[in-house]
Amino acid sequence: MKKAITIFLVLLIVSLSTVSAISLDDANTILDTVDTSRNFTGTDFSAVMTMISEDPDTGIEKKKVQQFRRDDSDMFLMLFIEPAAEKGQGYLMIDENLWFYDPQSRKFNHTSMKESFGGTDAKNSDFGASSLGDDYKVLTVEEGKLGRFDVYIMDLEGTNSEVTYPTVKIWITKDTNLMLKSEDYSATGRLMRTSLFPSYAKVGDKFLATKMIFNDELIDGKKTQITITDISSKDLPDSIFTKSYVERVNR
Amino acid sequence: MNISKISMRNITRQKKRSFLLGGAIAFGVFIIITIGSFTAGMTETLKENFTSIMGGHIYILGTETLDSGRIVQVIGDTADLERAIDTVDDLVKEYHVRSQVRMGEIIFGSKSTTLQVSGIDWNKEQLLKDTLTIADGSLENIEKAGSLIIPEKVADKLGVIPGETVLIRMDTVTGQKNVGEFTVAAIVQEQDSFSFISAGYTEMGYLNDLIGLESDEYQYLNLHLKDIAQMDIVAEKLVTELEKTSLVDAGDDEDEDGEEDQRHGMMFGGGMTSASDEPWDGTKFSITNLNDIMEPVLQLVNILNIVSLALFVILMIITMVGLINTFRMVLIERTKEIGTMRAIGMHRGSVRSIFLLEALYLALFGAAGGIILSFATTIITGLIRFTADSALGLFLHSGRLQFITTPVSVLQVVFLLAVMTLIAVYLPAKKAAKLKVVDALRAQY
Repeated sequence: MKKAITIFLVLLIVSLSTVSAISLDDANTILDTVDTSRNFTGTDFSAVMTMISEDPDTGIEKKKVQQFRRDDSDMFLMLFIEPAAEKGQGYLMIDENLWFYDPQSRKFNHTSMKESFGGTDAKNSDFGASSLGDDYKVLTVEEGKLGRFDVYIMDLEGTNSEVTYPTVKIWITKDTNLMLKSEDYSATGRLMRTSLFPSYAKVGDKFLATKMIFNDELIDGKKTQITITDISSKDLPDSIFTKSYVERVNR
Repeated sequence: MNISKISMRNITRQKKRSFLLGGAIAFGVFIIITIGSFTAGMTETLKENFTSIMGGHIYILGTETLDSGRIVQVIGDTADLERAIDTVDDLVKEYHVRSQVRMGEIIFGSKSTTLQVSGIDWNKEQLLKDTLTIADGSLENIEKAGSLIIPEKVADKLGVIPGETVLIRMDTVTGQKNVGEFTVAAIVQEQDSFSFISAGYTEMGYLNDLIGLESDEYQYLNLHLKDIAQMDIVAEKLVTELEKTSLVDAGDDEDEDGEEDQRHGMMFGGGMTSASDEPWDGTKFSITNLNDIMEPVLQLVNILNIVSLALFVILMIITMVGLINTFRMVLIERTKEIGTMRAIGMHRGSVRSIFLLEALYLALFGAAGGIILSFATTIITGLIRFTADSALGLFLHSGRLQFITTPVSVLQVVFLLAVMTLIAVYLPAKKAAKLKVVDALRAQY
């Protein structure tokens, strides 16, 4: 009888664990869902970002950026509003080319999505359309908790040698498939950056992280906090995503 | 009394006037020789600094396209390159292969700064070791993987000493983020005089591993020539040879997207990862030399030289007008004296020669004064030590401005001055020679 109970309990535990576990295929599907819920397909998007960077060397710096996105065409424009010294600078993504505009020299220079955004701990790629499902595949997945949230914890590996970070670990809520945290690792396996996304807003049927915290894990005390306000999903004129528009706003 | 002595005596007759004229000439000579010495020294210092930091005089960079169309900086297939450099082998002193992180971020605790890190094959590159001046630590274990040489300025900013471990954040050749651990082996002086780039050095194999290259791959090959004057000829020959087998970007054309700027930027480092519209097979070579890189600076030097020459010519024209007026006055003052000399048998030619020689001596004395003043100024200024962070950082040689005055440049100035003086005084001299003896003796002034 005792043996039968033991076998029953073992079978119960095994079956429960099978039910709660998630396959890698399912995990990869969740990655696609994360992209879908974060990308503004079928609609344009604009908002104002307030970025506060803390650097042990240079102190605290505040920047304000007007953001315009058209994820359907992989286009975005980020225009610096503050501080005065950087006003008019902008990042313009068109036709898979990312340009940085400097109003002082009045020149557009090529830059990369992997580069730091305006000297902060955020990367340019943090503000474009999300492509986790294309860029990464899930190596391992487990269930866990992050604060009060039930999450999937996934270890991701880049599908090509051109993704910004070769390996990434992410925490995704089980119920809403929102990314709450990510850890970005170097090719040598060292943790380089931790990103936190503690709050989201629903814009139409999409989710937008309204607060982001990027911690530089290599430099003690270096971090950037981004708050997003004035969110709108109204259609934007085509002219916004052009070089001439960026030049015009600087006149 | 011979003509030369008479001319010399005439100069001393009107000391104040001679001093003022000579002083004006001296000032003009001082300006042109000092600026010329400064620009020559500046050019030489820049060449030395560039040669040292770039590791040679001619730079051959390789780029390849990935299947995705992305361009990466690497010389993968070396067979064509080796065949080409064989043709110039007798003109080359040393070959340096390097890989590089252009905009690395060196981190120690909570402090960080930008560092360009070059991967060096220490077994092949001896010249660099010879040019480094060690401030702290040693080059003993520099061939060990992860050993790092950093400039004093960077060490001071981070507060790091030899033996301590630092991190360097960098991009791989495909643009991925990576970070490597390095041990500071030595802190060097000199490199900080080239203040716009903080250059660090490490073993190439270790750096290659971090930036995603094989241990025997490299991003560019630098040629240190036996004779720097051969630079353009060697570069041209390499282009011709490489064009027979490979795609070559010779670096002599420029499009409106600033392709040349980009190429020069690439020469300063690795990790170029832009996308290409037209992918190519194999390695595409880009050949630049020190002159190409220094072209903007040389243009500035030329402008400075032209400005100083223009200033010199203007000063000289003003001085020459003064000289003409002076000698017309001298002619009037000495009319009777000329008549007397002519009456006792002096030829017209000798009278002309006295005038011309007097002006020439005046110009030569003025030139001598200007040269001495210029030498004194350059020697004193050359003793001042500037900080590497100053605006002059780019032009400093061991923290000091370098002035180079060549005998040829001095002789050129003196010759030009002499010719201008003789031309200016020729008319009054001719007029003096043509004076009729009777009229001269009868003159009432």
